[in-house]
Amino acid sequence: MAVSSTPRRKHMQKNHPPLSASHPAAAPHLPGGPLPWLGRLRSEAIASYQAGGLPSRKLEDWRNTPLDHLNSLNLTPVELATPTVIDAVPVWQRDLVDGHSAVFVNGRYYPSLSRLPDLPDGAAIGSLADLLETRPDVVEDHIGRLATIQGHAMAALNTAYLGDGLVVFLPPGTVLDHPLHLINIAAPTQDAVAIQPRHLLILETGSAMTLVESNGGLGGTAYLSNAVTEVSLAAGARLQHVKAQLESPNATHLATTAVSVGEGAHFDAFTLNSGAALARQETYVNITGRHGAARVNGAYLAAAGRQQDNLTRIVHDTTDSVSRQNFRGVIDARGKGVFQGKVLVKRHAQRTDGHQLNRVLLLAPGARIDAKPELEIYADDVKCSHGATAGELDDGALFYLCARGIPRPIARRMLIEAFVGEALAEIANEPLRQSFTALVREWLDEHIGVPA
Amino acid sequence: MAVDIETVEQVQSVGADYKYGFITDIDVELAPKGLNEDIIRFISAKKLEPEWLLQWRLKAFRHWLTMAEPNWAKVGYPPIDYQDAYYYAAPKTGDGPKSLDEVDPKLLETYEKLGIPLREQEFLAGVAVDAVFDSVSVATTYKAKLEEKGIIFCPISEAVLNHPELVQKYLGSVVPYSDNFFATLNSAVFTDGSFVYIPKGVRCPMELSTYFRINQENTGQFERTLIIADEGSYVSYLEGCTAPMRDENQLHAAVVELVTHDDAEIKYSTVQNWYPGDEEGRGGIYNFVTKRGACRGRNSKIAWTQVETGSAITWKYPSCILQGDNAVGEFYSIAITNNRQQADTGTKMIHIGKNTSSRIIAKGIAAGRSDSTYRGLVRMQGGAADARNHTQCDSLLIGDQCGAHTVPYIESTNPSARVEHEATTSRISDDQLFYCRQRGLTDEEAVSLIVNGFCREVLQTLPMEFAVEAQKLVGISLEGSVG
Repeated sequence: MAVSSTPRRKHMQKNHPPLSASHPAAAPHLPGGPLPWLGRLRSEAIASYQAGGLPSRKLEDWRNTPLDHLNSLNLTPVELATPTVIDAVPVWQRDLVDGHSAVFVNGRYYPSLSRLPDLPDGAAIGSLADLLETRPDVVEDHIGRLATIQGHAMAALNTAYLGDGLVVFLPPGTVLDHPLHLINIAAPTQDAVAIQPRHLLILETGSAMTLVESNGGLGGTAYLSNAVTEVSLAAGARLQHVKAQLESPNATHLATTAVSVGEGAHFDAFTLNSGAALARQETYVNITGRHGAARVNGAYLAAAGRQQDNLTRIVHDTTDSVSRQNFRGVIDARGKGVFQGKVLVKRHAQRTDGHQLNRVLLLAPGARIDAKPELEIYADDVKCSHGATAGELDDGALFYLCARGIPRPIARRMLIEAFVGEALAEIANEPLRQSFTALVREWLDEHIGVPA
Repeated sequence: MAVDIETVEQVQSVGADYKYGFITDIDVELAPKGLNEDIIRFISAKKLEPEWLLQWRLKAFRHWLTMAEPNWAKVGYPPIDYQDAYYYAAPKTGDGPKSLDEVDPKLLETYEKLGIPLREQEFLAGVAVDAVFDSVSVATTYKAKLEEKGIIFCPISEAVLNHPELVQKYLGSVVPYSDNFFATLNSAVFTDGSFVYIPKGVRCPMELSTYFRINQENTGQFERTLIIADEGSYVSYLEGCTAPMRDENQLHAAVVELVTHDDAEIKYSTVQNWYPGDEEGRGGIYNFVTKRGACRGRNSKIAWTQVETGSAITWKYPSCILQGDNAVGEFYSIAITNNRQQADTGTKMIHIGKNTSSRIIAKGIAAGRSDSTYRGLVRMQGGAADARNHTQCDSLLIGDQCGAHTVPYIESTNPSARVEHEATTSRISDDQLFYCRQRGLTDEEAVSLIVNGFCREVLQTLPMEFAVEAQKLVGISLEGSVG
């Protein structure tokens, strides 16, 4: 019996998507283990993931994004890897913003480096793992409500390994004056770990905050970071979510953000994607309350051999709501950019105002962009539009600068920076905009060259 | 042309195991229902086709059996039973209505609104026309004039017999037999269509139209059109009837292939007004069409203009493959849907050659409970240096029960290529309507006026005689959508 079972198991593993066979071994190490509802949620999720496997390129949403390399990486859940000890936050992340911070190393809360704010009564900011110990009922009420498992394999995989991440709960009227910095550090101790943070933000009526998220990696090994963030904004709540993704060059960064925007609530997101070998940000916003507004903006910079991927889906599910999307992409030789943006206006969502713009610069031959801006509209009293462009720098503008004595490489650099600046301008917070501009400049220094 | 003894003999000769019972029934006009190799052999034999074409059809059919019907378009319809359809019908000259009195009065009403002369009305409604009908002689006169210039314009079945070298060279060269589900089906069973060849340096002196040809034969379900413009030539081709043909056939899967060589230009205009089904969405044509043009030569140009007002379902993406340097592709489209119609239409512009340019203007108008989708692809390949594209898609919604969608795909791998896409969706503003009504226009007149203004950029590209009818059609298609 023992002899015959070995090859069969081998064979089964071969057909199993990565991280599914190791789930039973990792599950006991996940926080909140004994909670029955959590066990059910995880096993449902792993079953859903196993049934569909990794998203294939036959799926419309994944047609430009190959994940085949994850099959050959031999990914290990971070729960089964040796824990990492680090003694400082990387400088770029530390300097990104002044304020409080919550540090997560390999997806696990790292209290020694974190500095959480003093909070008014009823508010909570902390780690999901802790909350699963102390107040599991709060988590149960909210987790998995917005990020759908069905048809979203990566969200399902994340849910199967759901254990730690940032939890923010702001009771009605709570306003955080300073930004909270969510620092995600991947510090793999061995090759190919899978880190799956799960963040949850619940902003009750009239509460407001700014969340700055930075994602970085230490070392050059390949790893997978597969994050899911759920954001629930009640009436009049406001969240500004500014994210910088500068993961290690061999990393795969997949992020799903699912947002529900209530009446008069305001979701304002900006994502800078310039790290990882393959990065993908999926943003799902469902505007369910009247006068709700969503701004989803971003810049993506794809260096040689890298892929930067953006998927947005804004659903207007009520009347009088507004959405704005503004994206800029810069793609270097052999780099690849993907933009799939969708505005869906439901039948009853009259007086919707939706606008989307995606502009891309291709810097050199071999750069590639696949863009699919999409409008799906079922209501008639709407103002919806989208625009998309792709091309190189404008010769006229280059010539103008050169004619004024600016050397061509510097002129080029200036124009590229200005181009990305059009997206950065969407960051309302001045110091944050400057930090993000600095990150873009660093990328340009490295990949375009420094002006003399 | 009824089935006669000869046909029966042909069928018997193509398949000894042919077990369908229609051989004894000489009066029958249709080949039996269903689709199999015997039917294809029958069609091929009926058309006296050479062996290579039969083999090509069979290759397509065998490939088709392995294919799945596409389901990515934003259209919904009950599954089609491909075995429950006739794939060959002899022309229905005998069984048409004897006079206009027998024609559906609703249809005649539409003709009247379009201002179509009585003679033409008879013709369009499929009334048996006698031999002295004006257009027959007109067609013959034109034919002589065209032959003088060396232009070949004939049914494709005739071209297969008379110009096999041209057909064999070009057929399937733009839309291969394995291209897509419906094109492959068409390759297997196509019955007729037009063939046009414009020789080097010839500018076709008149606009060619299927209209002049269909008096010989009714258009079939599976048309195959092939147009070749040799070096330096020009042709403008008009397709389709401008009046609704109450064709009860459910499925139309046509294929159109265009080829332009150096400095040649083809302008292809379509006004499609097949039966759209009734207000409740019963009946109507499923229009699954593959249209593609290859700009093979330098400086060549293909322009598609389409006005899509009919059909229950439209699935159609006239495309341009811009291979030659400096080639130009254009696509102008108006898609109007009303009641429960569904249209998923757009274009593909594949830029391969240097300095190629393309322009897309698509206007979608949705009313009633209909859905109108623009789906398009612009691809700049590595060699398409300095290529340009501009796309503009505008949708207009009339009523709150319809949908308008825009799904463009933009793919560029060449930094010197420039792609621009813009799309808007809105409705007719109350201000506009009020302004028109204040000046004495009825609701319907006002909508027709505003929509015509909305479509003007596209209507302008239509040949004169088409443009007038298309304008009227815009108004008629939207009837009942306001007020």
